[in-house]
Amino acid sequence: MLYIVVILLPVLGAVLCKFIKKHHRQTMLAFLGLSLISVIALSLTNTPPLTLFAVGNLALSFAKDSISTLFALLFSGIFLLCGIYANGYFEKTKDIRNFCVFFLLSLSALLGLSLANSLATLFVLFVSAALLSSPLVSFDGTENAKKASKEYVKHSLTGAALALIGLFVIIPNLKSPYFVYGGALNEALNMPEFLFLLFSLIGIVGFASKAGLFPMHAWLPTAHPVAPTPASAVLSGLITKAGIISVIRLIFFSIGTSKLHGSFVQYTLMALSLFTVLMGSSLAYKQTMLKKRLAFSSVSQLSYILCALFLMNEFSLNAGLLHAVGHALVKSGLFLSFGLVIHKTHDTETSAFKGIEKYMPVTVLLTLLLSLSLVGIPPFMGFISKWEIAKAAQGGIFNLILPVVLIISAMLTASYLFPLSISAVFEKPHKEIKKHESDILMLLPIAILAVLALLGGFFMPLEVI
Amino acid sequence: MTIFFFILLFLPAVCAIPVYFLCKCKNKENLHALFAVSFVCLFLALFLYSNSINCSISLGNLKLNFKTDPLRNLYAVVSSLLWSVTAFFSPPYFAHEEKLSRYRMFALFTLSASLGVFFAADLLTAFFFFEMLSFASFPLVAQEENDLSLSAGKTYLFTSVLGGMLILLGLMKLYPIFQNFDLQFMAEKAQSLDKSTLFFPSLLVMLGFGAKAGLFPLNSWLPKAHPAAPAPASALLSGLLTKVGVFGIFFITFPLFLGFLPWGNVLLVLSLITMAVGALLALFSTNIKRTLACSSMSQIGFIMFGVSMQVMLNEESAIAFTGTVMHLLNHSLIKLLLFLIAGWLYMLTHSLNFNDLKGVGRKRPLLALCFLVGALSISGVPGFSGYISKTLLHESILEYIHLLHGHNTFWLVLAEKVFVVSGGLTFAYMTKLFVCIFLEKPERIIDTKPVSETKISIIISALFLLPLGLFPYALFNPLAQNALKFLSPEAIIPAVDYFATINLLGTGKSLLIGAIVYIAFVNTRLIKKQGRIYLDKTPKYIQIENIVKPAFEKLKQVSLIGFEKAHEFAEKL
Repeated sequence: MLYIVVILLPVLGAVLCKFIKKHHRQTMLAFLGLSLISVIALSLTNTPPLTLFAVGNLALSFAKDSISTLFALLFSGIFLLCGIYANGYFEKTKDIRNFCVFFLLSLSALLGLSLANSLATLFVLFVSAALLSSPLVSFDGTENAKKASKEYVKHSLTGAALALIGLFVIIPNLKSPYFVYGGALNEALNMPEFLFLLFSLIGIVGFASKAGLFPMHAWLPTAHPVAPTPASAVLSGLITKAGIISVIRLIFFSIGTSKLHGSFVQYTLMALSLFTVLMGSSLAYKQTMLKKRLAFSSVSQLSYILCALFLMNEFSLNAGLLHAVGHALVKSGLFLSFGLVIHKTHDTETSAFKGIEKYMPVTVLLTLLLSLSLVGIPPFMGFISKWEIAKAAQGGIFNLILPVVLIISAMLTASYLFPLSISAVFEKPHKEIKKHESDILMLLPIAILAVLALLGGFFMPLEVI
Repeated sequence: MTIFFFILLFLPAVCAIPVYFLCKCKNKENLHALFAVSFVCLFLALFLYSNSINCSISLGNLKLNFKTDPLRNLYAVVSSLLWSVTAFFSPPYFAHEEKLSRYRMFALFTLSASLGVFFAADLLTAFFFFEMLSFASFPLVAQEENDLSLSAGKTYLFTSVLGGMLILLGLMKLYPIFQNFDLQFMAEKAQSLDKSTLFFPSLLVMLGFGAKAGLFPLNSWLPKAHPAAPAPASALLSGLLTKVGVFGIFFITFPLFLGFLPWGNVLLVLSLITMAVGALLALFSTNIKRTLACSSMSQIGFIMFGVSMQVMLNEESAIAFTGTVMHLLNHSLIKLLLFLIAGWLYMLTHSLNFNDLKGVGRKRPLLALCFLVGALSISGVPGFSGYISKTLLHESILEYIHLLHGHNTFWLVLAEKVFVVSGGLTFAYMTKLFVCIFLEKPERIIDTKPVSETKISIIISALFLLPLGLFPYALFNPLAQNALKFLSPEAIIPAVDYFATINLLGTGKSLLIGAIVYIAFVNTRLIKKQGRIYLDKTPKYIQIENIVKPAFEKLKQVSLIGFEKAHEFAEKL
C-alpha cells in the first residue's frame, strides 16, 4: 500500500500544481518534501511486495530491497534539493507550472522504476520516465529546445524499442516474473543459447542507452545543456540512473550473471563501456560549452558504472552502486553551481569562470569540492567508488585494462574540471559583475550535495547488497 | 604521548582556515600566525623526537595509520624548522603582496600533509596525504598570479595528479597480492614472494612518488615551479616537498626490494640521469632560482643514487643509508639557506636574472659568508656538511664495486664516474653563482640594508649547517645511528673515517673537475667577454619534455579526432 502512496504522491502534487496557479511553486516544494518523507517511511518499514496483477510472466509489481531504497532516497532527496534551487532559478519567470508538473511526474516515474519488481513494470516506467521528462528539455520554448526535446524522445524510444526486443525473448524464459537476486531464468531455454544471448545483449544495450552507452549516447550532449539548469541536473544526475537500475535488474535479477559471465555479451558490453569512458572524458575535455562539458562528463562517468556492472560479480555491483550515488550527488551539484555562474556572467563557455572567485567565492569553493570528488581524490566518495571498481576487476581478465582506463579518464576529468576552478581563483575577471554572491537558497542545495559527497566517502557502507 | 603526536600532525591543518579568516579580517602584520603555528610544531617535534609511536585514526571507511621513529621524527623537526624560518623571513619579502592570507592557509595545509606522509605507516595513508599535498601546495606555486606562475602551477598540478594516479594504479595492481598495505606487513609477506611479480606495479608507485621528488622522468615541472613560487615557498618546495616524494620511494623500496638487483638498477639509471641532467641545467641557467631548482633536482639524483646502492648492497647497506639520510638532511638545510638568500637578492633588485644580480653581494661580507657555507656544503668541500654525505655516498658505490670483485663492474665504474663528474658540475655552477653575485663589477650600487627578519633568518640557516660540517662525529653520527632504526632495529652505522686521505682525494677529484669546467667552459662559452653578460645557451634536448611533449600532443590530437568521429557516427543513428 505504501508503494502506491510513494509513487502517486508526486502525481497528486503535479495535478494540484497544474490547477492551482497561485501557489504552484510552494505546492511543488511541499510535495517534493512529502515525497521524501514517504520514501523514508517506506525504507524504515517492512513492506512486503505488492502485485497489482500478474498474467503468466508479465506482472505489475512493486517491492523494496536495498537497491530500491538506495535509489528512491537518492531520487527524492536530490529532486527536493533541485526543486529548492529551481525556485530561485526561476525568480524572474512567473508561470512555471509546466516545469513543476513534469518535474513531479518525472520523480514519480523514477520512484516507480526503482521500486519495480518485474521486467514489465520496469519497462513501462522506463518509457514513462523518458516521455515525462521530455517537456523539461523543451521548457525554454526556443527552437533549439524543441528540437532537442524531439531528439531526446526519439533516442529514448529507440532505446526502449531495443529493450523491448530483448524483453520479448527474456520474459518467456523466466521462472517467475519477479526479480530474484542471482537471476530467475529457466534451466531450459526455448531457443538456442547463442540467440538468447544475442537478444539479451540487445536488451541490455537498449536499457543502457539511457545511461549513455556508445553508440546510443548522442542524445545526452544535445538534451542536457538545452534544458533549464535544475532540469539538466535532474536529467544528468538522476534520470540517467533509470538506465542503470534497469541494467542492474536485467543482468543481476533476471538473466543472472552465471549465463552472461565470460560470454561474448560481457566482452561486447565491456568494450563498449570502456570505449565510452574514454570517449566521454576526451570529448568533455575538448568541449568549451560548460553544460555540454558536463553532459559528456556524465556519458563518461555513467560508463564507469556500466563497466562495474558488466564485470558481473557482487563486489562490482556494490562498487557500481557506490559510484552511482556519488555521481548523482556530484553531477547534480556541478550542474547547479555551473548554472549559477552561467546565470551571473551570461556566458555559457568556460570563459565564464575567469576570475569569478572575486564575486562568487562560495560557488567556486563548492565547485572545487565537487570537482575533487568527481576526479576521485581521497577522502571524497569518488575515490572510494573508483578504488572499489578497480578492486572488483582484479582476479578477472579486465584486471589491467580497467584500472588503466579509469586512470586515463581520471586524468582527463582533472583536465576538464580543475582548470575551471583555477581560472576562477587565479585569473582576472574580464568584466565587472554587478550583483555578488548568489542567493543562499540556491547555494544551500549545492552545499548539501557537496557535503554529502564528502561524508559519503567516509560513511557510505561499501556493501549495499 | 599520542595526543601530542596528533596535535603535531593536525594542528597546522586545523589552524589553516582560522588563520585565513584572521589574516583577512585583520589585514595587517598578522603574518606571525604562520610562524606561531610552525614554531609550536617545531617544539612538539623536538619533544617527540625520541619517541616511537604507533597509532591510527579512523572515520568511517577511512583509516589512517601512523608510525614514528627517529628518521621520521627527524623529518618532522626539519619540516617545522623550515616552515618556521621561512615564515619568519616572509613579512618583509611579501611587503607589497596581496593574497597573503591564502598563502598562509595553504602553507599550513601543506605542512600537515607533508607530516602525514612522513608519519604514514601504510601506503594508502601515504597516498591520501600525498594527494592532499599536491592540492595544498599548488596555490603556493601559483601565488603571484602572473602568466609564469600560472603556467608553472598548472604543470606542477598536472604532474602531481599524474603521479598520484600512477601510485593509485600501482596500488590497485598490488592489492590482490597484499590486501593490506601496512609497511611492516608488506615487508614480511614479500619475503616469500617472487619479486618480479611485484616489480611493475611497484615501479608505477615509485614513478608516482618520484614525480613529487623530482626524479626523472616526471620532473620537468621542477625547473619551472620552484622559481615561479615566491622565495620562501621555493625553499619549502625544494627543501621539503621533494623529500616527501623521497620518503614515498623509501616506503615502496625498503619493505620489498632490498637485495633485488633489477630494482636497484632501475633506480641507479634514473638517479644518474636526474643527477647529470639537473647539474647540466643548473650549469647553463642564468636565473638564480632556476639554478637552485635544477641543483635540487641534481641532489635528489644523488639521494636516489644512495637508495639504489642500498638496494644493491642489502646487508651491507648501512653505509649507503647513512649517506642517503644525511644528504637528505643536508640538502633541506642548504636549500633553505640558498633560497632565502635568493629571496633577499630579489628583494634588493626585483630580478632573478644573473645579469641583474651582478656584484650585488659586493661589500656584504656576512652575506658572502653565509652563501659560501651553503655553496661549499653542496659542492662537498671538506669542512662543510655536504662533504660528509657525499663521501658516504661515494663510499657506498666503491664498496659495492669492491664486493663484486671485478665481475660485471663496467657499468658501475661508469656510474661512479658520472657521480664524480656531477659532483664537479655542482661545484662549477655554485662557483658561477658566487662569482656573479659577489665578484662581478656591479652595474649600479644598491645600498639597501637587510631588515632584521631577513638577516636573522639567513644567519640562522647558515648556523645550522656549520656545526654539521665541523663536528660530524659528534653530530652526524648519533643522528644517523638513530635514523637507521627506520631500516632495521639492529643496524649499526659503519665506522667511516670521514677525513681519511682517500676520501679527501675523492672529493678533490670532483672539485678539480668542477674548477676546470668553470674556467674552461662557463667563463668562456657562457659569459660574453664584452660587459660580462651571462648567456642562456641551454641545449634544447636536455629537457625530456621538449621531446615528449610534442609527441604527447600528437597522440592527444589523434585520439580526440578519433573520438569525435565516433561521436558523429553515433549522432547519425
